[in-house]
Amino acid sequence: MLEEAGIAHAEAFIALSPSDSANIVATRTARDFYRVPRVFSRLCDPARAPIYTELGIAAVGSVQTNVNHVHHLLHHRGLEPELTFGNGETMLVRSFVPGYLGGRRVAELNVPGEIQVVEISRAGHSSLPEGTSMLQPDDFVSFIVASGSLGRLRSFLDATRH
Amino acid sequence: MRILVAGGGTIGLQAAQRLSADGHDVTIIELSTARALRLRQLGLRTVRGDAAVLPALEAAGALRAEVLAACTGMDEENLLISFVSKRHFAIGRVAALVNNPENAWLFDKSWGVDAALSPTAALLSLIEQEPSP
Repeated sequence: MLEEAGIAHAEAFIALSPSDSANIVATRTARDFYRVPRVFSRLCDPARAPIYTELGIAAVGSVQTNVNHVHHLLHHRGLEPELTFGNGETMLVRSFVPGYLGGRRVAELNVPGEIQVVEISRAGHSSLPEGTSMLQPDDFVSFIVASGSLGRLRSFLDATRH
Repeated sequence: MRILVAGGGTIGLQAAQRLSADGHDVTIIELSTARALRLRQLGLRTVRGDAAVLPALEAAGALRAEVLAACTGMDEENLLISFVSKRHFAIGRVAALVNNPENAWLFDKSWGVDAALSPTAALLSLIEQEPSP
């Protein structure tokens, strides 16, 4: 069946059936037997997540990802992740710098293991900041954030309201 | 020997009964609640749970088991059960049932399978070996 579908020449394989075990077996076969370079598998039952991890199979559409997403929708309106990594443990979010943070150094926003400023767009020009770079009001900043620290970043950015 | 049988369908049940009668310490892991109840009524030690998930295997005694037989009616489940039994619990001998002979090539050491048996393939080979009248 896989061969009929042209798996020998496939550049990516994605298993999205409702059966985790069928997905795992198909994905591993695609990767290890047919040497498909990029494989992904849907994960329905979180209890089976350790098997995916052990086999090095990236899980998509997992319950955990959805739970994280719902959590963000509920608690972090206006600070939506543009990209998530792994199973949603870290994410890329972008926000304008509020006026009160103008003149502060980038290093003051970084929290080791939680929040990291990775890019600043200013007047249509993007750059990688150093810790000593100064923020200006209306800078558009990209952060990598641990999912549990999104609330902390939000409180930094919303501090003017308090 | 301490033996786990994953899946209490026709083959799992027969194997468990036979092994118990021979004096082995047998535990069945069965996903269906109704079937697990029936197995218990037959006097077989049964854990209800998903045999491809670590807590269920551990509850059934996988840490001390010497043999596991993956006998569910689904080949992909049998492969996963074999993989987890070998990789996480280092069970010495893992035997697996092949339901669809076309899947037989998958049942190897990379999935933790020490020995695989396909009743259908066995039956077919018997028929094909028989000289035509």
